[in-house]
Amino acid sequence: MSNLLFKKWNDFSGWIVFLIAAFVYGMTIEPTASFWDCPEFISCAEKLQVGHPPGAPFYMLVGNLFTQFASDTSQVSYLVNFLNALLSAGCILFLFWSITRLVKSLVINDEKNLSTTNVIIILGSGFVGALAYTFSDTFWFSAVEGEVYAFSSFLTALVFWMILRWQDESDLIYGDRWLILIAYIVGLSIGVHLLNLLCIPAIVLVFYYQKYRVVSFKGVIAAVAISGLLIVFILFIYIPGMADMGGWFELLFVNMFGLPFHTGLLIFLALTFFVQTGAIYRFRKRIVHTSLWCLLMLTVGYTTYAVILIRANANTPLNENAPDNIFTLKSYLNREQYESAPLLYGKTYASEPEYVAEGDYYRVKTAKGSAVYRPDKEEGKYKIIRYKEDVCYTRNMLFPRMWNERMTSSYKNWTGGSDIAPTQKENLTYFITYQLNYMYWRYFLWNFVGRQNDVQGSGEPEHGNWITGITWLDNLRLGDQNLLPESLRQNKGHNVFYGLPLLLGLFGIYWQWNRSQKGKQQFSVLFFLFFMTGLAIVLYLNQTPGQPRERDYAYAGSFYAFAIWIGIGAAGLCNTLCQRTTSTVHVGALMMICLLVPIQMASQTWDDHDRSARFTCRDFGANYLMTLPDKGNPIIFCNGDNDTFPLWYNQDTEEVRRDARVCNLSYAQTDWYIYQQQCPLYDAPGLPISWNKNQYQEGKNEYVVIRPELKKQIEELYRKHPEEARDSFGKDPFEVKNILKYWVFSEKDEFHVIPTDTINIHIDKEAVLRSGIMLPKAIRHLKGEELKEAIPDKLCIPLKDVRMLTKVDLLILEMLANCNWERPLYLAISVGSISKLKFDDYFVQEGLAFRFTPFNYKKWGDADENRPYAVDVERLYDNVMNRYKYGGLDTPGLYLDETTLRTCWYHRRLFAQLAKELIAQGDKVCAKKVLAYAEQAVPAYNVPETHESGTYEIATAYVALGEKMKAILLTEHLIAEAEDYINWAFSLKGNRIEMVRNDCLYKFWQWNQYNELLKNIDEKKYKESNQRLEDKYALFTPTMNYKN
Amino acid sequence: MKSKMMKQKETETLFGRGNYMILLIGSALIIAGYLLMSGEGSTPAAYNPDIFSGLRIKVAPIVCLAGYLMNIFGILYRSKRSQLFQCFPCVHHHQNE
Repeated sequence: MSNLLFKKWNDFSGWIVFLIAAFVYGMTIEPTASFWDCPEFISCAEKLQVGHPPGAPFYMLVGNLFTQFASDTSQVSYLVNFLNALLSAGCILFLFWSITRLVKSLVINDEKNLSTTNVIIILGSGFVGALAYTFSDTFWFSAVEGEVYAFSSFLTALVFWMILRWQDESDLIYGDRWLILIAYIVGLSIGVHLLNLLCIPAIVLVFYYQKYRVVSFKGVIAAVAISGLLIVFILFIYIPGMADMGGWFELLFVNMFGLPFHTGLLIFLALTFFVQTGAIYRFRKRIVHTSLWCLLMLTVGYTTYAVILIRANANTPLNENAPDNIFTLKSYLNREQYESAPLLYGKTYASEPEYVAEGDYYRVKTAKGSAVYRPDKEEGKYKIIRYKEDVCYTRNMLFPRMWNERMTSSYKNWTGGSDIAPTQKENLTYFITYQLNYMYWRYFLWNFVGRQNDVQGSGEPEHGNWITGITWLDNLRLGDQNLLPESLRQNKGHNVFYGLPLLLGLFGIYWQWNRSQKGKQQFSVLFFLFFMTGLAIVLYLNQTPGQPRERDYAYAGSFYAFAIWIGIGAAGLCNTLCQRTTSTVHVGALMMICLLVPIQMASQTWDDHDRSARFTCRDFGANYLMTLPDKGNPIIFCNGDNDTFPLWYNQDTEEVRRDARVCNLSYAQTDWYIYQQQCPLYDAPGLPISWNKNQYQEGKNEYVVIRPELKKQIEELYRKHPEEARDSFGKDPFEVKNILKYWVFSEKDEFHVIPTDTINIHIDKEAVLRSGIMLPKAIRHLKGEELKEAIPDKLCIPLKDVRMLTKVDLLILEMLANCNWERPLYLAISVGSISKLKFDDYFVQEGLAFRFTPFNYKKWGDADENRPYAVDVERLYDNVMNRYKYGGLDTPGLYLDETTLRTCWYHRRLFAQLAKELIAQGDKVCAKKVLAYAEQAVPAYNVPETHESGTYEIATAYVALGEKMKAILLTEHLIAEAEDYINWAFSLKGNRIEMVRNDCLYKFWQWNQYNELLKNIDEKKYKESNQRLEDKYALFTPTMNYKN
Repeated sequence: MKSKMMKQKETETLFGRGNYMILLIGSALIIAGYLLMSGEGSTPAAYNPDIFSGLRIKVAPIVCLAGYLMNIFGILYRSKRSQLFQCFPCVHHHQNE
């Protein structure tokens, strides 16, 4: 076959693979937003808003184009996901062409004609490698949702292919265009995700091998070092340097010359381009000329960040960090809001801040950093609001891996350390066992060997481990997998490949390396791609234990590199066969067998990546909003990704409940967020925060100390000089408004304290009655004046055991006071404790959120030890039965990942709670109706019946209703879950039992609970179950004393 | 694929007039797009629905994107004349991929 014909076949095959991948991903995309950051990205793309740092402006532009094809609001997310599916298919396309290029140069030596056998080997290897990656876990996961990683993978594939393509024309000056194009794409890719910069070492190596006929080991080292410097230059010198210079120009033109904001920046940009194009015109020597072009196009690609700057100035609803000027933009780009880990030398979890004496006190020693400028809109100038301060720590160490003091006990779990300060040995143990093995190699093995289930693991043997599918091997490592509880056995995330993809890839490495010098060169290129996009990231991130989710998506680039090796492995096998037989058919057959590997992978991974027909994220987000009353412009507090972004998405894109406001407490500490919350949005007025910018600006009132001893002094003052006192501190000095006005925001510094141990909020009784808040049972029957009398005059919030109030605490108090009950204020149930202040007794649960009320329900008897929160049964019923949607949960065969499942559990538990309340009220008919609907809305076939999912509460409700059959069914199911776990635990070897000891105890406890329930309905079954429990427990106790 | 017939002269330029034109148009589109995108926003006084006007979030981003994509063209574009002067028998090879 001539080269020309081969090229045509190569092109054609590539597009076939593209179509296969596009079809697979298109069929399995989520039809709406997904959990975590996706709803944010989708809303930002559609309306060009500013998401979390460092933003992804180029992704926004491309995503925006796709969203314009939506014919109604619900299609917007579908289209963004579809964009990602196409981009992922594009990545597969370039993967195919990359593999065929590499294999061709290993197998052919400049011949004019290719034998059929060789064509089969080359194209076949492309198919095997590309399809193996198509059906791999991590890549597929990112391909079907609206995150940035699909786009980033596409750009990585594109750039890598381009440098290979450049090799065809490297001698011609025309070939330099590929290098310039690569620089441009890299610039654009920074507007998607920084991951793309990690390709640079591989690219530089290809360049080095191509350009230098004589290659040496030293040369390779030098090339890699230069590429590292290149990354450092772009990331830490060029970009921050440009931002800094932009800042200087701004200060010059705005502060000095009095011109409007951004003049300096624009002049700086114009100057930069002028200088760069001038340099290109001036310098003609090829290396310099091309390098300057590369720099210019890199900068042009980087200008996508103008989107962020421009839209931040438009103060869009989603405007994180409000990077509307060059200074804030710089800190946005540097991701300064996220804690950064030390790398080479720094603190450990045992490090204490250094203290220095200052007068009578000791204060923390800090290294003063640069000035922080912010625009003062009134004066039209930039002002310094504070200086950066870095705390100095004691007891630093080299290469610290355990640096976060909040994670101390988790670190010690991984190292077994019990000393105060970590030794270097413990440090490295943690690095290897957790950061490398658990948080990287485990993901690698998921993709190419097998995965136990899709439950997030933190080291335990039953969740999220890698497995092979070879029974005796897996059982040796992780206990008898067949004994695991049904919910884990049936988990769709269970995928086994018997290690075949791994073996193919390893053989590929072996064969490539032994394929003369060219093979070794190729190996080094792929190795650096693999290393930089995998292990290097692990080194850089320095992760703490207790991550909120599995992080395999970050390493997709290294799996891409390995997929190339898989393709090469297939080529290697066939080529080896080729030496022994001349039969094309034999080679073809072997290639077909290799193709079975990706096909087998697909058979395993399809069920846990098919997200079609799943609308849970959108519907659950809407449910939070629908919990709020329809009138009064309610406000809901939330604090994470999954209870905030789906709500924002619903409001922004699907136009649901635009009369409500969503306030994320994690951001509420920042001045830009407080400002945004004060602005009206859509149909809702701003939040009732009366502070001005000076009072809540960064650095001001971050926390206020509580001085309860002052209370007595103030009371004295009021006794002795009542008139004066009232003039100075208001009628009730301990009322929220007065404390804020006269103390926290006082002009005098020494008044910046909370001078009491109890804060009051005065209650407007009329407003309470108008608000529709559930009245305590004890006073519900009262009317008119009697009712008013019964309502307390004020709400007293004790500050016992609290040493200071943070800005967020003050904000919540301010809003409580100003909302005045008629503007409903809610807290999502997903929020843990929001502050040290205890509001729990004042909450009434109405669904997925608690409402703040002036009534201490504990005191009124509506809440007690058995019922931690008062429940508004009417509202809960209306919400759960009528207003909430369940996202197609009843579709059989739906795939639900762990995050979605957890939110399903919230809903099931609400059903159970509602039923329990109705039974307590004596309304058994309604309760039955509720439970019947629960069975249908949150069905067992999709949401497994486990303890965490609320099944126990449902079973209890059935017992109370006298529904014996249903109760027994559920209880036996729950017992099986607990008992199976214990049986499996017994099958663990050696010290693995240590690991699960506490969980086992917990299962025994659960089993006992179930038995107690069983006692009331089936004496016989109870006796059997109880006997089994006692037997098993007797076997268990020896292991309990094992280490003691 | 690399023909020994043709020797690269240092005076052979990397880009031709066509490239500069396309790059210039691309850059102009980018700037125009950003100008169309700019504007005022909401304040504590009132919500400003203009931040989501068709011009700013539908037309402007397309103009910007067109500019960025056009630059790719601008880099890769190769006028017919320069192609003929280059590798004569190899011209087909460079056409694909």
